[in-house]
Amino acid sequence: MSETNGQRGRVILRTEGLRKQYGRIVAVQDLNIEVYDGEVFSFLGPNGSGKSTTVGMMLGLIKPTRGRVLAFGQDMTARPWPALRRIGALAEAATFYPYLSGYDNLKALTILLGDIHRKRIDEVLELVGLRERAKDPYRTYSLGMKQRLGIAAALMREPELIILDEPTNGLDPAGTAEVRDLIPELARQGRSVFLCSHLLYEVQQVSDRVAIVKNGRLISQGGVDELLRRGRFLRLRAEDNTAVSGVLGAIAWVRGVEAVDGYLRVDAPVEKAAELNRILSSKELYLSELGPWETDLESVFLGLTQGSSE
Amino acid sequence: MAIHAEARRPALPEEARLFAFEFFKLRKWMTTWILALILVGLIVLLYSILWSISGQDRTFGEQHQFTSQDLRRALFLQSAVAFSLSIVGSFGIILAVVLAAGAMGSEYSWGTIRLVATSARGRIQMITAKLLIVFGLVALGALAAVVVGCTYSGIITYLNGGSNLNFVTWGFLKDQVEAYFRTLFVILPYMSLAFALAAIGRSTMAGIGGTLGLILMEPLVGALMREAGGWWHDIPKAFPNSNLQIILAQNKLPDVLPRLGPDSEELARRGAVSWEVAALILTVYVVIFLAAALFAFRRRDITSG
Repeated sequence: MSETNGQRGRVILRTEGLRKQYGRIVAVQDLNIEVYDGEVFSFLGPNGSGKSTTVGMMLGLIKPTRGRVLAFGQDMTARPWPALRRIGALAEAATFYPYLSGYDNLKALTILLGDIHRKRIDEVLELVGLRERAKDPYRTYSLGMKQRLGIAAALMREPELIILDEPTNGLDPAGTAEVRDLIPELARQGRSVFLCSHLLYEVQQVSDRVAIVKNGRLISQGGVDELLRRGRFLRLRAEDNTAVSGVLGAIAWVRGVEAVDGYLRVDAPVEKAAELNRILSSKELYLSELGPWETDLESVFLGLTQGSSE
Repeated sequence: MAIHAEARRPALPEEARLFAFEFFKLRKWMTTWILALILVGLIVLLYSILWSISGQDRTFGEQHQFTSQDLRRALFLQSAVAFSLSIVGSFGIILAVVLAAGAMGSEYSWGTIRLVATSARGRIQMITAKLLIVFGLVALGALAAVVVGCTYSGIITYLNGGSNLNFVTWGFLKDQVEAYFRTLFVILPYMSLAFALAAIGRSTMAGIGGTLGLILMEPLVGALMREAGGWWHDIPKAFPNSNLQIILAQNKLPDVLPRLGPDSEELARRGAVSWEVAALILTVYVVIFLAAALFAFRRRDITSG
């Protein structure tokens, strides 16, 4: 059984102390994340950070060394099948039978899944814009078309949870925008989306919550707004930036000061801007500009993944 | 992009779906048809060559004990099933090995193993369905070979005025059916080995290379062991090929027709085991190979090929 968690609703996917070790290499270490019903959850990390291994364990393809994955209350290591019926996945690159057409690949999938009507094939092909090339062999498809077919296959069984590992790989800007539009649409329909992507701008636009991993370890998890707040700085400019830096360095709640393109980026709570201005004025240091340093998910991601060694 | 909800349809039983899925894929796979065409083409080619030879005025055999007329009569319908099956039991094994290894190994090279594994109920059911469908296609291929052989042989028989079908008795038909199943049985060990090696090695080449290597090395190593004498001498009796030959020798093939492997007399001279023991040994091989495939496939992580 799935459980509920306050305002967020049902937990439909949870990892508990998940670990995967290949010999001496630890691909995923003690990962604890939760995905709630109807949310878009993004899973971010640099290459080799264990994202695809985690997805593999979520789908029951890879056996954890320790810990477990619970999807819809089912242990994916012991008995993945009942939960897999409710999950659609595009894991790593899309993979299909090269000699079959796009249509026949989806037809094969309907045979395997059993309870899906054939006209669903036309629906999902229309949805991903592959209707006109549906009868062409899969091997003749471009990388972007293959990804679209992968998304179509993930949607075939009308899943409650959709796991998309780099769904925009190989897509042109228009295709990327379509996928970006599709993800919140899926969430609006009450489906949950677990998204792995390198396109942080896209992730920021569509995600409710984000987890960031590095070297297989979770280094941050939370709502997108929360993460962005955490990464916010003050931005100021003065006639004498060096003197201002000196004063700021002596303030206890200022965690750091950095000169960037003629400005000072001050790592301090944004709500302390007025107090900071008052302190500098008392030292006869007057600011020509003061405001929040607007940040984005990419800056937060880079700050977290490049800043910490663990 | 808009998404539409869609009604579901009643599902077939899980096992039936897996069989239908595997059959759909293999039926649409060009390799399946190419292998079938090679087998059928081989039957036609060998019949054509032997028919041509039987038109020449010459003798055959080690002691020149057979005439052209003997060869032509051996090409008549009476021996068509046995001759077609002798080709299936020799060259056909190689084709079955390619099909079995390809069906399993290609899933890894295409990466489709992940698609199937996240859509099928269980890994054991998935691999079992695949193996059974491959074997079913091999059985159909053997049947096609027999049909083509009988058709060609029927034409030869008719053209040579031998259209008498008095030989078709219940006993004759029983022999043909038994020969068919004997031939299918001897294909199983090598097919299972190819399947297992492809599953363990996660590649088609592992399955084909390993199995064909064994097929090629067995007679050579066996001959050397027999030559070495002592305790070496009896080891080849446990080889798959030695036991396969014992089973195939039960199929009644006219002596004038080419036979790939020793006949009953040669086997008796070597002190070969009975066909019952040979069948048991081959069964043990099949069980071991399939158990290895199932064990490896069930336990291992499924990652791209």
